[in-house]
This record gives sequence, structure tokens and C-alpha cells, in this order.
Amino acid sequence: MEPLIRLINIEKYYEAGYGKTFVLRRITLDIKEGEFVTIMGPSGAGKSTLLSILGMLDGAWTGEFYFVEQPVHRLNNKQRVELNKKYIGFVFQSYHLIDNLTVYENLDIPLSYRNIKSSERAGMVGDILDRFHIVGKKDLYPNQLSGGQQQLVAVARAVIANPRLILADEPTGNLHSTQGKEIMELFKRLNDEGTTIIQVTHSETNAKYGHRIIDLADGWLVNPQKTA
Amino acid sequence: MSDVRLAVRGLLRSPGFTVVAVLAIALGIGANTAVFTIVDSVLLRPLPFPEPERLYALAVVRDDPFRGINDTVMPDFLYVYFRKQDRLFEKLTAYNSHRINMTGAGDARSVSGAFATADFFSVLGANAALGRTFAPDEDQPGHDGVVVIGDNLWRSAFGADPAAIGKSVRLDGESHTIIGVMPIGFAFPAPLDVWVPQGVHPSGHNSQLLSVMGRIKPGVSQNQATAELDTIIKQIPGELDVRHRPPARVVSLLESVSGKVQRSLLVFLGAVAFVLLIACTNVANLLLARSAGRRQEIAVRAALGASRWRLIRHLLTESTLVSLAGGAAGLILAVWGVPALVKLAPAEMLPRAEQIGIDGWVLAFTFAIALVTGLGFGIIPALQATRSELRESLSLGGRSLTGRHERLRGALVVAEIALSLVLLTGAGLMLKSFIRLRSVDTGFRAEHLITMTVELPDSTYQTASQVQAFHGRTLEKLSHLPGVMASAEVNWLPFGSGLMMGDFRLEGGRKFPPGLMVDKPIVSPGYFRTMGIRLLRGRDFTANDNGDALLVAVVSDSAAKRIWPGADPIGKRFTEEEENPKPKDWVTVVGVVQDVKQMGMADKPRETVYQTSAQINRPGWLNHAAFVVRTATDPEGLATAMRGVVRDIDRNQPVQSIATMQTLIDASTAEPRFQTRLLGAFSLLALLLAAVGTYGVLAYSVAQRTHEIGIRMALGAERRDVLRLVLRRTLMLAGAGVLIGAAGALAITRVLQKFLFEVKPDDPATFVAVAALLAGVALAAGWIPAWRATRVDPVEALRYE
Ligand SMILES: Nc1ncnc2c1ncn2[C@@H]1O[C@H](COP(=O)(O)OP(=O)(O)O)[C@@H](O)[C@H]1O
Ligand SMILES: [Mg+2]
Repeated sequence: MEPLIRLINIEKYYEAGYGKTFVLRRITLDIKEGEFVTIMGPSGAGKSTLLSILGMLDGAWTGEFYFVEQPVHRLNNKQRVELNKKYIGFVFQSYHLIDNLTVYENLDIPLSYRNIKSSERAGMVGDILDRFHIVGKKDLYPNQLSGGQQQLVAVARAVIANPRLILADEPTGNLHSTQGKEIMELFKRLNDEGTTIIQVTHSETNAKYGHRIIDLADGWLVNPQKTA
Repeated sequence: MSDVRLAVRGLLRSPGFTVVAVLAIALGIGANTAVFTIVDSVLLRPLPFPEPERLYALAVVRDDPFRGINDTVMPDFLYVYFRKQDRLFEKLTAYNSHRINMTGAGDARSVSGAFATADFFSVLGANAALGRTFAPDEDQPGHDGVVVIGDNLWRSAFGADPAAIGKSVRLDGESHTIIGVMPIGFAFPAPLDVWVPQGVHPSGHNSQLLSVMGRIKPGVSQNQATAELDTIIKQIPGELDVRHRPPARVVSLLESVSGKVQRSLLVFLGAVAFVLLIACTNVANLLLARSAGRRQEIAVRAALGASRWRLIRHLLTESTLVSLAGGAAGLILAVWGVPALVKLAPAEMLPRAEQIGIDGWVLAFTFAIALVTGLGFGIIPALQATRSELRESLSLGGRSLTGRHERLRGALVVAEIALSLVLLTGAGLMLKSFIRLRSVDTGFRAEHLITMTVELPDSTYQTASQVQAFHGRTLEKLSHLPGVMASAEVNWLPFGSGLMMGDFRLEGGRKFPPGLMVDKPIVSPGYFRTMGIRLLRGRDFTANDNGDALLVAVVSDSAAKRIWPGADPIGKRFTEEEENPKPKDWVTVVGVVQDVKQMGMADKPRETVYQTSAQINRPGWLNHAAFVVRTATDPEGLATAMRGVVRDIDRNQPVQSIATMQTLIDASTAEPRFQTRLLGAFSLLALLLAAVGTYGVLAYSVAQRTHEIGIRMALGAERRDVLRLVLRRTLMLAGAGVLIGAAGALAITRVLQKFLFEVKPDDPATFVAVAALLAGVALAAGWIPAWRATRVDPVEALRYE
């Protein structure tokens, strides 16, 4: 079976005065469906950049990128957004909930972009509220929640449209360890249910939840083979 | 003081904001000051006469804004009757204005003048600067060979020489001795050249409308005077049926001078108030954005112990400085704009135009609105800025700060759109009304017609045949000018300055409709053909219809229907002789022509009875004449040749005016055109401000929401979703604004009712068109920020929080 993700010689650089500053160098790797992969590396190594590319948010790179057997490098922006919508959910370090929307409304956002009938949408939001035990919070605004609760909502929002891949950029970076543990348990469970997960973390403890670790340094892959 | 210094420094630190805010306020205040200057000079300043509150104008005519006759006037016989019976007025006078031919002081010239009874100046309490005004008996025949001249004429014709007193000039051929020169600025009823004494002697069937004013006795009220006038005119013996008498009105002289323009000016004042409100809303929005950027500064000040009141005072000082600067700039705009406005306005529309100028009241007004404006647009942002500081520190939760700001700013945009919708609807209604007015069928073909008015003095042209001879020679010569297709003569031209009206006695005991006054123009044969007035039945006048032949008349369609309802008018007879008409006094109707507009486009169909000049033997009915010429090409080019025709016949005879028919028609709609233009200009200004405001709010909102947009993109939003996000907000703001504005317009445009011709103030087509226009403009204003939103790079947007 083909891997879910295949990167061949992915490079990313910024124009810097004269010459280029490379952020990613010759990244070549496969990630199979159902894997739980951890990306580690010092700050500035290019981890977030790599996640952005995998999540179709960043289109300015070179190399070959196959995602669900589609050659992403040959797709236009609209087609890439389609892939994002269909297969991918995002979780961020700083939650990135929308301040002016309630928990319920925040959860509804991904569905609103996915051609789902509003009656169905209400059901799906209801389900996810149940699943994450946050029904009581549905009418609150993000700034009325603790950090852990906010991240819980963010994870719920990432999975609401049943993505096959979750990309999580330092999801526990802003949380206490107990809250962080809760989120990691959640990822574990999702992964057990078949969702592929790629997380970025600085924590060895969190890394242990995954199957293998990809180390990045200065844009280079350090040890493609290392397992957790 | 330190508040002011701090505020100045703060403003200088953000010159972009300061310039835009001051400019918006300057536009708003400038427009207000300009219109207020005119209101102040025209409506508010008392007339420059002693005890002006005792001066009243008296009127007994219907008040109809679209007819020429909407002045405070009454028929001459009513004046004479009332003057005899009246007990409440100290003095009364009647007058009317005319062009007069003046010779004997340099070249022959046509001057502006008033014929007035002897009490004219003493009613006003006005004295001559040089010499004297009329003595009490100087309006009597034999004593009336005097004249008072205006300062302008004194300077232009007599080189401001005091020896002008005692000199003689010929006015319409009659010799008059100059007895006085009025001071500079004396301008009643207008800045005229001459005032000539003339008594009132009503005669028979043909009455003249006169302006009448009086100085009321001390302690008598306006209501008492009105009641007296009403009672007395109802007692007047005669045919006139009481029910057909128009109501009596006694209005203050100031109002009679400015009454016509009062409503227009108040509407303009309302319009510019809206513009100012919109400008304020814009600036309030700018201030909100600014205060959001200054949260840090405010928080620090609060932490250092500044009370909320202190913070508010600081912010208000700033906004007041902005508005005072805007007020100063606005005053400059007004100084520059008022003369332009006065120039744009049709001459008759702005009475006392020569007195329009900025005075202490205007300065006070400008200062006051600048102050109020500054507090007005500053208070909400100031409260908001300081409140948010408190709430933030208490961290009460709920929708975030930016959210509340955003809604407040949205509300301000809604207000702006609503306000400009009201203004635009008003302008739209006026425009539609104006177009309707202009497309009215006049009953004749105005293109390729040129008219020349000549008033023959009755001292030189004493008999009807002398007048007829002059007219005949003129017509003959005119017809030989190159390019002339047809020419004719009429005593009072449609869209000219006046006309003769009256009634008749009908043959066979048939009763003339009570209260009806028909127009009585006198025309030469070929008049209908030259004007392009269709002959509906019977025949036109011919050269055979002369003094020896049977008297004939052609009547207008509506006259035929009104005077001989259900009967064939052809062959019907009437006479103007009251007692025992002789057989030759009877006039036979020989033709029926289409109705024409006589006094204005909005004129109702007028009952008109035409007679032909060759059969008229009273010179007074003929000596005012207009020659109409139909040309093959551009009629303008014929003017010089036409003047030459008159000069060739009589060297001393000036031509009163030459104008194409189209010019006369345009002049008759000059007032609605001016109103439409001005209201249009104000509403475009409002639209511009609203568009800028909408753009500003959306651009700011997109900038504020970059992060949110990035999140949405990460969650699957496509470009068009983002575009929709911003445009939907635009549409919601515009929609709310349009709805609220339409409700407001429905309530407010009613004040325009009097100005609207065949358009209802709630005309649905106008409302829909204006709403669509405004929504379109709002969408256009939202488009740029929306497009910019689609260009947000989610990676960038999410990197920084
Ligand atoms: N717009 C940009 N221009 C130039 N360099 C950038 C830009 N954005 C990110 N970088 C650089 O790219 C590198 C990788 O960033 P990132 O992927 O966020 O690192 P990580 O997530 O591993 O900390 C950093 O050195 C950062 O400074
Ligand atoms: Mg990172």
C-alpha cells in the first residue's frame, strides 16, 4: 500500500537580501496511514514550516509531495484547499480559537466550509460536544475557558470533520502537565481509532505517545529511522 | 492646560489621522456654516427698517408654489376697498415692479423700477440719503412727475453727483424730476434703480395684482389684522362669489420677502446637518480605531492613578481640538463657498442677496457646532476606550474587546449609511420631480424660437394705431431677416413676466363661471403657427380681422370647456362692455387652440381667450409686446439683427430683453434645478463620506481579523469563503443601514412634498433605486478590504498572535 504521505526532496527557503535562507533542506520521508509521528528539534528548526506544508497552508516550496496518492506539487491552490478540507485537521500551540465566537460556533467553522447541511452540522457539533464532555461549555466564549479547556475545544474542532490526518503544532506547549496529559491521551485514543497523527513537541514524555520521532535541525532531517 | 498640550502632541504624533479627521469635519462644518450664513442673512436678520416687527404684507391670492403667482399680492380693487375700511394699520401702500425705459441721462436704457403709492417710503420708515422721498400727494395725477433713484443708478448714470437732485429724466417717455437718492443697501422690494409714485385706480374687468404692505398700529396683533382683512374683503360688493375668494393672509414683511425661500433653506440646513452627522460618525470611527491602538497608553495612565473622568477629559480635549481645527477650516471653506452658492442660486430665489455675509452670529454658530461636534463624536470613543480599560483589567470575559469595538464601529457605519440614504432619497425625489417637470408638454414648440420684448412708452406711442404701426413695421422687417421662418407678436409671452387676466359678459344671459379669471393675451395673425400651438377647431386670425371687421377671438381648449361646457364654442359671443353693449362690441369665437403653459411648467391648463391686435384700440393693452421668431437654424444668432430692427425704426426705443424661448423655460425651472443640484451635491458628499467610512471600518476590521482569517483558512476556508465573509458583513451593515435609512426617509422626505412635482414623497421607484445605489456603493467600498482578506497568508497570520 502507498503511504499516506510521501515527501521527496522537499525544500523551502526565504529570499534574504542576497541569496536564500533555507528553512527545509531535502526532506524525504514517508508516513503511513495510522501512524503517530512526533517531530522534534530545536526552535527555528523548521518544524512548524513542515506542518504548514503538510497541511496545505504553505504552497511555496519545491520537491515532490504525494498525499493520498495525489501529487500535491502539481495541484493548484484550490485543489490543495480541497485536500485540506477533506483529510486534515489542525491543532495549534496557542489554540487559535476565534475570540468572538462561542465554543459551539467555533466547532461549527470547519463544517461550514465543507458543504454539509446545517441540520447535519448541528448533529455533528452535538456529537463532538458529547464526545469531549464539553456540552456545558458550548455557549461560553474562549476567554471564559482555561487553557486546557480551550485546547480541548481546539482538538474537538480539528476532528469534527473526521479528518484522516491531524497535524498538531506543540499542542501542549501552553498547558500544565496534567492538562497536557489529557490532550495526549486524547490523541492516543484518536490514533487508536485509525487517525494518523503528526505532532510537534519538545517533550520527551509526549513523544512517547507516538510510534516514531523525526528529528529536525536547521531544516535537515537528522535520523529518519529513529523510533520512539 | 496640560491636557491641551498633551492632546496637541498626541495629534501631531499621528498626522494621518489628524488630517483625515480635520478634513471630514471641515467639510461638514463648512457646508453648515455656508448654509447658515445664508439662512442668517435671509431669514433671521431683521429688515433694516425702524420697528420692522410692525411691517406686514397683505395677500389675497392662492398660494401655489409652482405657479408664478405665489407672492403676497392682491387685486387692485381689493386694495382700494380694504384701505378705505381698514382701522388697524397706521399706513398702507401698494406697489409693483417693472422694467422701465429711461432716457435723458446718457444712452437710452432699461432700468429696474417700482411703481408705488406715495406712502411707500413712510410705511417702511426709510429716508433718502440725498434729497427726499415721496410727499403724501405725489401719487396723484399731475403731481407724480417725480422719481427717487437708487444708489447704483446715481453712481452709474450721474457719477454720484449731488446735483442729480432736481434733474429731469424721461421714464417710459414721461418726464420725472429726481427728488431723492436712496442710501447704499436700500433694497426694497429689491435693489432697484428707480421708485416712481403711482396711485391705484382699478378699472372694470381687468384687474392688476399688486404687492401690498402696511405698518400696523402699535399693539395690534397679526391675527387681528388677518381677521380684519378677511372680514373686509368678504363684505366687498360685486359679482365675486365669496366662496371663490382666496383666503386672506397677513404675513410679516420679512416672511413675505423670504417666505418663498424659507422652506428651501430649511431643507438645505437639514441636509447639511446630515452631512455633518455623517462626518462626525466617520471621525468617531477613526477615534475608535485610534483608541484601540492606544489601549496600552490608557492602561498605563490608569495604572498611574488617572481617574476615568481624567482619561475621558484627556480624550475629549483631543477630539475637541480636532473639531475646532475642522471648524476653522470649515469657516474658510464657507467664506469661499458662500459667494459661489449665491451665484449658483437663481436671482429671484435669494432675496436680500446683497446682504449675505458672515457676521458675528455666523462665527458664533460655527464655533458652537464645532464645540458640540467635538464632544459629540468624541464622547462615545472616549467612554468606550476608558471602559474597555476597566473591563479588561477585571477580565469579566464574554465577547472580547475587539468584538465589542467591532460592533460599535459597525453600528456607526449603519448610522452613516442610513443618514446618507435619507439624503440621497431626498435628492432622488427632487431629481425625479425635476425630470418630470422638464418633460411637461408646454403646448408649443420651444426649439428654434427667439423672443424680443419691447415696451413702448405711452407718452410717445399715444394711440393704438401708433403702437400697431410700430409693431407692423417691426414684424415686417423681422420677417425679412435671413433664416426667419415665421414671426408674430403677443403682448404677454408664455414664460414671460406677466399677463392680463379678466372676465367677460356672455351673450344670451349665460353666466360666466363665477370666480374665473381667464388669461387675455393679444396676438398677431400667425402667432399660433409661429409658436407651434395646434389649432384644434375653426380658424386662426387673419389680416382681414381688422378694426373694421367683426370682432373675433380664439379660445384655448380649457376655456372652451369651462365657459361653454358641452356646447360648441365656435360662433359663441361675449363682450367686455359692462353696460348696454352695442352690436359692434360683441366678440365672436372663431377658433379653438391647444392649451399652453403660461406661467410655468407646473401650471395647470389655463383658460385663455386670445384676441388679435388689429382689433384692440386701447394702447395700454398693446404697448408691452413680445415678438416671437421661428428660425431655421440656431436662434441665438439672430439677436443682434433683431435689435437692429428696433433701432432702425425708433432710435430712442430700447429693447427690454432678447432671449430664446428655451432660455425662458430654463429660467422658469431655475429654482427646482438649483434645489436639485444643491441637494444632489450634499447627498453626493454624504455618499462619499459614507463610502469612505464603510471602507475604513471594513479595512480596519479585516486588519483586526487577519488572525481569524488565517484560522479559518487553516480550517478549510477557500478564498471565496473569505471574500464572502467580508462581503457578508458589508451587506449586513449596508442592509441594516438601508432599512433604517428607508424608514427615516419615509418620515423625513415628507418635508419635500411642497417641492415635488408629480412625485410622491414615498415614491417606491426612487426608494428602490437609491437603496440599490447605496448598497452598490457599500459593496464597492467593501470589495477592496474583502479582496485584501483573501490575500492573507495563513502561515503568516497564525505565526504571530
Ligand atoms: N517570513 C519568513 N522570512 C524569513 N524567515 C522565516 C520566515 N518565517 C519563518 N522563517 C524562519 O524559518 C525558520 C523555521 O521556522 P519554524 O518552522 O517556525 O521553526 P520551528 O517551528 O521549528 O521553531 C526559522 O528560522 C524562522 O526564522
Ligand atoms: Mg514552531
